[in-house]
Amino acid sequence: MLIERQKMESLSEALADRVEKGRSPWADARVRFFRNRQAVIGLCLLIFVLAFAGFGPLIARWPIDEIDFMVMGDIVRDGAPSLANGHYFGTDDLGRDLFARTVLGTQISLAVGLIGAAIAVIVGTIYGAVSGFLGGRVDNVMMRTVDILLAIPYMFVLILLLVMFGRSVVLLFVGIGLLSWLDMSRIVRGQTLSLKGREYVEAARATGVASSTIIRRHIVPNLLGVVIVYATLLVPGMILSESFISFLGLGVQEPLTSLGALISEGAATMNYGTLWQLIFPLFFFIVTLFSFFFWATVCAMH
Amino acid sequence: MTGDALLKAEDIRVTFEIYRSGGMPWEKPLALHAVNGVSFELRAGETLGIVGESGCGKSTLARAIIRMVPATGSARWNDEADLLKLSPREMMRYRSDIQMIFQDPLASLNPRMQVGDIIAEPLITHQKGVSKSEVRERVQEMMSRVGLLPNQINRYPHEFSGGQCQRIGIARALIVRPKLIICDEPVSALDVSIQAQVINLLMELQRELGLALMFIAHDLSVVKHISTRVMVLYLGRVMEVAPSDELYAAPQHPYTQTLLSAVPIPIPRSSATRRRFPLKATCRAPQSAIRLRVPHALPPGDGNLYRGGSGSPR
Repeated sequence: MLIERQKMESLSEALADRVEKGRSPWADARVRFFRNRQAVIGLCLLIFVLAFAGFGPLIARWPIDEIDFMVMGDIVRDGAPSLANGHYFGTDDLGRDLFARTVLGTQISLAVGLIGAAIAVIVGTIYGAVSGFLGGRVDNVMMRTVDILLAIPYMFVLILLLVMFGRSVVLLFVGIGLLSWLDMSRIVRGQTLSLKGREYVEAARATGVASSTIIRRHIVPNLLGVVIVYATLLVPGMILSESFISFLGLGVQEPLTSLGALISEGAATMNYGTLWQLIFPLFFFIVTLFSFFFWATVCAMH
Repeated sequence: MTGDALLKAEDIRVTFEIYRSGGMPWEKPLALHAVNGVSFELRAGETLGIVGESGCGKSTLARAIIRMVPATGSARWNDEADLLKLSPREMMRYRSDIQMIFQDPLASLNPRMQVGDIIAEPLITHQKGVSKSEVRERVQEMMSRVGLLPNQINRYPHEFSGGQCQRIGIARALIVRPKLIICDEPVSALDVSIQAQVINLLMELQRELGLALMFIAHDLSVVKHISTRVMVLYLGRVMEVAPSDELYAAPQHPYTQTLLSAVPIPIPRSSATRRRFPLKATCRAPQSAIRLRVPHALPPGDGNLYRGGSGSPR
């Protein structure tokens, strides 16, 4: 009996001591995410693309810029995809290994997409949240500035910049990133306006919390849902516009390449029987976009 | 009244400017007098109930005192300072003395913060040098005091019921040991049994800590239960201030009589025999509204009263 009682006491103490771990809204979302088949497929595709970009260089047997003189004479006959000579995806028109180049192209396209979206998210969120929270005249000035910037045809400016300052990846990143935060800031501002009237923000203001702290502690965490959905939609958008510019021949510079540039080259030779030059880059392009869009739709639903 | 009032408000006025929709920018805005010359006194340990219909300026008055809306007049705190004339920086000193409890318990808690962080917020805002472990200790102490389990400190607001959320709100208000708590309809969103729990908790804490309460509600029986004195507001003006018992036993002002006659009675049969004083006009007249709506004789308004629309200014 005594032992039983001691046991019970220690058990109740142990129960009382254990701090219950709360389930955050994020944890809830994670559970729902993994129950959703679409979301899991999107995630698997994304992991596949990331793995391809990450581990591809280890598998490739040729560097990106070395011309294989064995196949150079007749690409249609000798340059087709083959395991024997190490050109898994065949070669491009000049006899360079397409596998290595597709890996590089995927890396660069992903980098443009992710970095561009990251700039947009950071700048757009801060700008929009500050504008929406402060309101009044400050809000007016900040949003009219955005309106003016939005009125500038951005593809035109980007192309002009690339022509004037020469083609470079850095300029491409900066150009795409700095022009893409405009929409983000508008969305964030609208959301902030509705958050500003919530009672917990009022409670924080009533107790004297500084504005910057309120934005950081109360506004931004509650914005993240919207921001993440928009950012996942932004990434494929970035990849598309980079591809478009590369397709025009203004994007990244040889021997570097991107999926857009590879598709452009492949499309130019598709009538001559070297269809693999188009199909492999196109496949990875589509898979990348697809996985991001898949993911974004799932995020948007929750 | 003695001079040891904790808060002495005199002639508080809040006026909102309403620009006519579609009007030209140079047109003069209409003035909406949300709070129109309200004066009252509040001593430590006392509860002032504020009642009135929707949109009569109850919440606006509370917001004026903590400077959430611009107001004129004076609100002397402890005979030291006039809250309405302090700079925002000077006001910070007094913000920890005046805390607020809100109407919607869940909406007043940030859904992305853990309960412990929510309750600790006023503490880390006002007392910078407190160590993390001490903050945690005090939060847990406060949680058990308001009837929450201290081991739920890491939970999120959506995991609690409405009554528990209101307890979290109360804990957040009490953590800095304030002298005055403004309760803005703290029980309107709760069901009746939980209302009683929250009200009794508030009264208990008030007794222990010697708090002054400003209790805003439109449930007259709740106000009667908790208040030492009751102030009746109508269209931004004080109709009557009286000790709770007196006001309910013998309302002096016609509007108060009207208001009290509208209180539902537990046994409906008896309501057939009791006397009601219904308001006559249903629309809100721009001028001398009080005369129009209250059936008994009343001194005429000064004519500067304007009410637009039917929504309440918040």
